[in-house]
Amino acid sequence: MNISRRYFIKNSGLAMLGMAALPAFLQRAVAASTTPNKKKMVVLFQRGAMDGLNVVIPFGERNYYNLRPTIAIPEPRRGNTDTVIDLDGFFGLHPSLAPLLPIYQRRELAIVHAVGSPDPTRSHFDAQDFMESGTPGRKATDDGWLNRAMQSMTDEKATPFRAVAFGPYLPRTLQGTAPAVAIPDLKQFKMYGPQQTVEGGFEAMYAQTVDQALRGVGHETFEAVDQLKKINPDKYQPENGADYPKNRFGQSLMEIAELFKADVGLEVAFLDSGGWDHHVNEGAVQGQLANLLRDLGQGIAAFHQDMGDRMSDVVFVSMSEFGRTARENGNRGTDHGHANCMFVMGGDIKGGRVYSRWPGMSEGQLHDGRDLAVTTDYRSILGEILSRHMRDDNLKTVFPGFANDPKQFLKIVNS
Amino acid sequence: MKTPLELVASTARALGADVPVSLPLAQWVGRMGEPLFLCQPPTGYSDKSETWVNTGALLNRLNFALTFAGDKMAGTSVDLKTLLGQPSSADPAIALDQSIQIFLAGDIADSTRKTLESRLNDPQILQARLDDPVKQVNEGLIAGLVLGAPEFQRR
Repeated sequence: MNISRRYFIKNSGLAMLGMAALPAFLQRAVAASTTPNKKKMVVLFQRGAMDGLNVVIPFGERNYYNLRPTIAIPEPRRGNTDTVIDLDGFFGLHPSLAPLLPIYQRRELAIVHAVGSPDPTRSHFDAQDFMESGTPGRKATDDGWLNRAMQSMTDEKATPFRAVAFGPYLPRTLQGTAPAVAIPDLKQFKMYGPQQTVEGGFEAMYAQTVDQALRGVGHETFEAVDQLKKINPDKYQPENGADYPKNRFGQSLMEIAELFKADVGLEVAFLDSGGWDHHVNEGAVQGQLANLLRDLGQGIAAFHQDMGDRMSDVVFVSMSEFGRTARENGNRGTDHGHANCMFVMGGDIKGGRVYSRWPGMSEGQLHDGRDLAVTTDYRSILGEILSRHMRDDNLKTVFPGFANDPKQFLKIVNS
Repeated sequence: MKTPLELVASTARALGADVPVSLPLAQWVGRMGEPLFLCQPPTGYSDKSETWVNTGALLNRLNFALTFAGDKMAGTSVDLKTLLGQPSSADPAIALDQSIQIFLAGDIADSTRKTLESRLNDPQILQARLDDPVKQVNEGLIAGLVLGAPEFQRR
């Protein structure tokens, strides 16, 4: 293990003597470190509408098998890895998600089912827009829920890395007046050319420009470039044998872990993954969805492993704009539906449970006679994480128009 | 603000670049946040400034200017010597004046001009050698700084 100076100071006997006993230079070093156990959050958006019914499978529901004759995942059978992985006798994981089972068993992974946005739209665009703005049904909202959360939790010591989207552009979720950075690739986040001339020149030009927005972004950019130089992203080695998938999703998760560990002030990280829209040949135990889930499971498990004990300060949460039809269609796929499932992981999480007010899947129980009904509003999950984990007590401004009553929380977060 | 596509197109025009292979330029448009023909929402890419002003994108805009003006862009070639004129290669002040005239039509904030002038004696720009009295001005770097200036980001 690589023991940093800060780690040494924090964990050595010196810390127990209290600040007064420390030599002055060490006192300064301790004071300069950003609060290392500040709570953090990772948000994954699965674009395209994941088929939650084939991800966390309600195998105890007879109708599930009746409605999906060719794409259903077979009921759990001991010793058979091509069946549902039983979680609680009713719900189980898709076999491609096997890497998540140990985390579930350690009670650090929870699943919420029949969860989603109350808005009935089946348009990817509208549903993503509503979910990211945090105001279902309202088009006029111009910032995202996570940005409003950052606005509501002011932080004077905030660094340019406080809110980071790992991708080429800032997603709707993070757009707004609170500073947020989009990083397509940590290794490329530097300036090309002779440092003094280029950075000095551009920094001065942008610091003096009359365009306020450009001036602000310029300031953040140069500060971020400067801080990243100290990290040296080319040399990053995941810990504890973590093995990230070799694609953009895995890369982003690894960079999130890297920035958390580098202690640069990262508090909320956003990443997304695409390709979940399986109208044709979705597959079952094997196939298109199974392949995506393999990456999903491997990625989340690698992140958990790599972060190690640091997971006690982190909550990871996933979402997708809506679920898919309960019935498979004529092309062995599924169409746009309603409720879905969410993964919630972290040391603060009361895991090892599937949280669900299960609506049932009989004809009369399905939403519009075709989709899994939404019985839990996704905003109450995010609200609980913000309130009980991140200590944000302004849920009214984060999710305007939604009564996020703490009494209604599922109590998925320990506090 | 120029959208990424507008920025790439206007930079190519300003530099009078020869672009036999356009894919690398298209990839830069993507890196700045506007991957061509890959827009997710059906409403298309935004034409609001705020969309295009963020930290990752700005860094890419600056690096794009430096790469392109420095003639290090794959698939394209730039002839700054002809564009800025012969006197530019011996005198950084002329190279800067020419760049400002050609790329910005002379329309530049005093503060930006002062910042640029203060960099003209940097060794990386002069590229002077003790044993060689003839200066070889790094015109690519000067042009890159001008093309990365706040003024060039605006329409």
